[in-house]
Amino acid sequence: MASRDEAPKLSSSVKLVLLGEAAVGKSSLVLRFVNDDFQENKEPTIGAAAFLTQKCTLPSRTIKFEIWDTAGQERFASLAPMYYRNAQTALVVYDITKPTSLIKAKHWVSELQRQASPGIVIALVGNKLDLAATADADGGDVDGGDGGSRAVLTAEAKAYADEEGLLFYETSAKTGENVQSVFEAIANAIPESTLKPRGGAGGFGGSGRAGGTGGGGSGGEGVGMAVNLEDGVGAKEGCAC
Amino acid sequence: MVQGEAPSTASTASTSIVGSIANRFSRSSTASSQASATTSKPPLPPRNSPSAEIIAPPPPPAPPKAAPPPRRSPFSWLRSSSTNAASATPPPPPPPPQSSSRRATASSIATVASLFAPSAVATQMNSELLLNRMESNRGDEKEKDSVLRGTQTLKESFRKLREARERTAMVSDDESTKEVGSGDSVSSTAAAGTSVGSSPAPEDSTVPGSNGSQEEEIDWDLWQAVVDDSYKVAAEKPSELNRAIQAGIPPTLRGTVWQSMAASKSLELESAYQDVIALPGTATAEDARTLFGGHWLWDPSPTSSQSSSPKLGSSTSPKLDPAGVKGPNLFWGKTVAQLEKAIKRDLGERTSFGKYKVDQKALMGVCKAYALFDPRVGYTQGMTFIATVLLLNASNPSPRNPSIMTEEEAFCVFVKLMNKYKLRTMFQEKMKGLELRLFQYDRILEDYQPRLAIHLKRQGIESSLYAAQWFLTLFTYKFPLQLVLRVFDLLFSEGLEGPILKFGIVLMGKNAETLIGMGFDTLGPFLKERLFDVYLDTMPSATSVKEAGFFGNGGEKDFYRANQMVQDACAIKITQDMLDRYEREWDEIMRAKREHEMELETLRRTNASLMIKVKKLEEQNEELNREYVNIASSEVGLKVQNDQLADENEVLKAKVEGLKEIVDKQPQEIEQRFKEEMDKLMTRTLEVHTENQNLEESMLEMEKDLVGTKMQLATVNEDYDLLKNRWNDLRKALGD
Repeated sequence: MASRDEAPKLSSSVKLVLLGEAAVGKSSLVLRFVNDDFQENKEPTIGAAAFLTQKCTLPSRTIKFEIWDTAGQERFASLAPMYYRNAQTALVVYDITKPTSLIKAKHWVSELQRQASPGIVIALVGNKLDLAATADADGGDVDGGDGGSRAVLTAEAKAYADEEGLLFYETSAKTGENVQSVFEAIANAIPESTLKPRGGAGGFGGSGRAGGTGGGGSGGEGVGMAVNLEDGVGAKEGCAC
Repeated sequence: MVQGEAPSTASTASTSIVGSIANRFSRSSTASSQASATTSKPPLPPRNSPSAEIIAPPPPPAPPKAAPPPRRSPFSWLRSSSTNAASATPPPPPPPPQSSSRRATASSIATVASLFAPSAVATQMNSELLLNRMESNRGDEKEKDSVLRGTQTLKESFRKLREARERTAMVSDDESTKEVGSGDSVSSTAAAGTSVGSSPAPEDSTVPGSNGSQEEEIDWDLWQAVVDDSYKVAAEKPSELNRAIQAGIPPTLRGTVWQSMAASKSLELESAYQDVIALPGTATAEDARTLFGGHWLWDPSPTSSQSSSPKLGSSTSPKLDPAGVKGPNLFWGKTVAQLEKAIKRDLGERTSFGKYKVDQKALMGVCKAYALFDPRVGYTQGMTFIATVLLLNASNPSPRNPSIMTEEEAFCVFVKLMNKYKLRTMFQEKMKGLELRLFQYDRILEDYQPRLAIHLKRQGIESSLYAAQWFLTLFTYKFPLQLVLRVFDLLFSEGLEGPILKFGIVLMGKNAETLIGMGFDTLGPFLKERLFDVYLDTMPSATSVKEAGFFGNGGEKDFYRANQMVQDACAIKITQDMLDRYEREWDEIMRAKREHEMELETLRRTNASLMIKVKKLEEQNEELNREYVNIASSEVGLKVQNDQLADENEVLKAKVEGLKEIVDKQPQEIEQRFKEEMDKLMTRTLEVHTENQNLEESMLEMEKDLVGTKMQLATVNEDYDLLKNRWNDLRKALGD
């Protein structure tokens, strides 16, 4: 436990997997996070995941996400265990304009809780927040039936996330709103003990927690709730070891 | 990531296209005719570039059906050759060199092959795959009829195409000659190509004044034979066919040749297709079933090639057990409208070939019809990519391209691809086929590129990440169309597993050094989008330029050395044996896994039952404990009581002891006392007795006294009486 490595910032790789129904915007979230870009008609992800990395710098350390993006269509679900194996964190995405996508998201959450690595940090993300704002303004959306207005209440999803101990955010890959915050919150929520290059977990615990508070704050909007959760997860992890 | 480049280069491509096929063929297929290629470049029949046809409306040449009578006769030999492919019976009109040149070609193959060492080796192996493929495509007896009829139609259209070609060749003679010239200058190989064309193409002689054009190398006889009976060609001229396929099927013939190799053409299925896509939005697979009739696919076994026939006899349809179909079937209950919605989401710009402007309605139609045709697989993302490639070869309606596939034909090919070619197993529930393919791929990569395989493993990159999309979409997901078409050529002739694995391995091999130098960050995007860059043609030859532009060049600026890729891929030695071995290995692993799971399951179950038992026993134990405690406490009570009793006993014993002593002493005392008493009593008795005697004596004396007294009384009484009587006598005497 002696913290011999007192380097200013630790860099650790974290495997992050995205799960969720087809066309909720998983790949778009990644594209926004990694390239700060958005494509209107992205091609569907087939079977395998596109994998990308992106750094997330926190006060105490640098987290490098290895992002595994999965195909959303039901048929590909059987491949999912290959992808979420050994993942330390998961982003379960739903579409706030599509209630069925939240149901699917809940399935994913329970599957992850059952079968993924213990102590996996799960974030529930409601995407397409931009559509909530436009509401009825442009009902004649080109998105072919999908482009409606909000159909999943924030409170409802938030309540579920609280109950299951998940991070919760509503994002828009299109506008970029909250996207950075989700990943920051996840970076903060990852328990030190599960990070690969161990640099004395004890020594850094305190500062990590401080970072956690900061990250949660930047989430803003009153939606973020990373602050306390990190401790909770950390404690859970401690038990598991 | 960068998409949406404007399709601008289309027109430029069309000009440089001419002669590009020549170039392409010069690489290998023309080798087939090298025996007679020693002569200098003879002029070959000029023809319009196919892409020119796409872009511009049909120019002057009359549609094929309205062929002028004199044109017909030169092709009458075709009819005979259709039944007797490339036979040595040249009727008068066709040129005599036809059969002989053909023979020479065949014999020269062996020597030519040595020039292309890798592909020569591959050719031999591939012929095995090829023959297998062709044989299995022929299908069972039931199918044969419809296939035969379909083949007839194909033959017909092929003939028309050929006629049209030869006619237009004459018309556009001059300009194409010029274009070919320019094409030749681009690439040195093109020169060789043009020189070759003379001998194998019999039509050269029938078409006077023919000059070099892009089709000069089209080996009409070979392709004719393939269309007539692909199995026969595969059996009799395997190396020739292999070489031709590896060189790429001529774009104009591609649609037809694909169909004939897949033996897909079925008029019934085509008309069923039209009915099915016309179904209303509320219809379901149930409705489609009646329309597809005997074709309807509902429960083929995914593993055995025998039963994976897409066409179950109509007798099986009535036996359909809807309950059996429904189970895990995601698409059974879906309505056409729901399907359309799901498919629509993936249309438009959402495929990498979106820029080629494929007929979206047809794409929707093919995907929708297949989902209804095979409700167990339904619609899966990825299908659009494959269907797009088929439709690209279908959506070129041109009067001079009669043999190009129609939308219905594309559907039939898709059905074949899914079923006979077992693409379906990869899309099926659980995607077991894909997992097997990935496993085979992993093993073969380990065999061929051990360093790379280890590097990837260390970087945490699994084939499921990057290769799954290759296999599921048959390389159509991100690969440039130029390469994809060639992949398809090979897989239509050899089946899916060999070619897709070969292409995967060869791409990895070509990039091995680059990949080994990369970490996770860079590997990801590279594997996804840059792998085929090794085949980028920095100095594109006319051929590749033309080929790239065949579909109007959807803004693609890059050209690829497709021939090289195909050759490299074919040089990879993947035998059926290897595939089978790894499949067995996979089955073994799966079986072990299943067993393991089953064992786990049984263990879990026994564990559960044991747990119940344990719980019961624990309860019993508790019960017993409670009883024990009760007993123990009562025992303690008893012990205490016992002690008390023992004490009491002790006391009593002592008492008894005392009593015994007393009892022991008592009799003597009593006897003594008794004696004393007796003695006392005896003496007393004696005393009493003597006293009694004394009393008796005194009584006797008293009695004597009494008697004396009584005697005295009686004397007294007698005296009294005498006296009285005297008294009385005196008184009487006195008174009287």
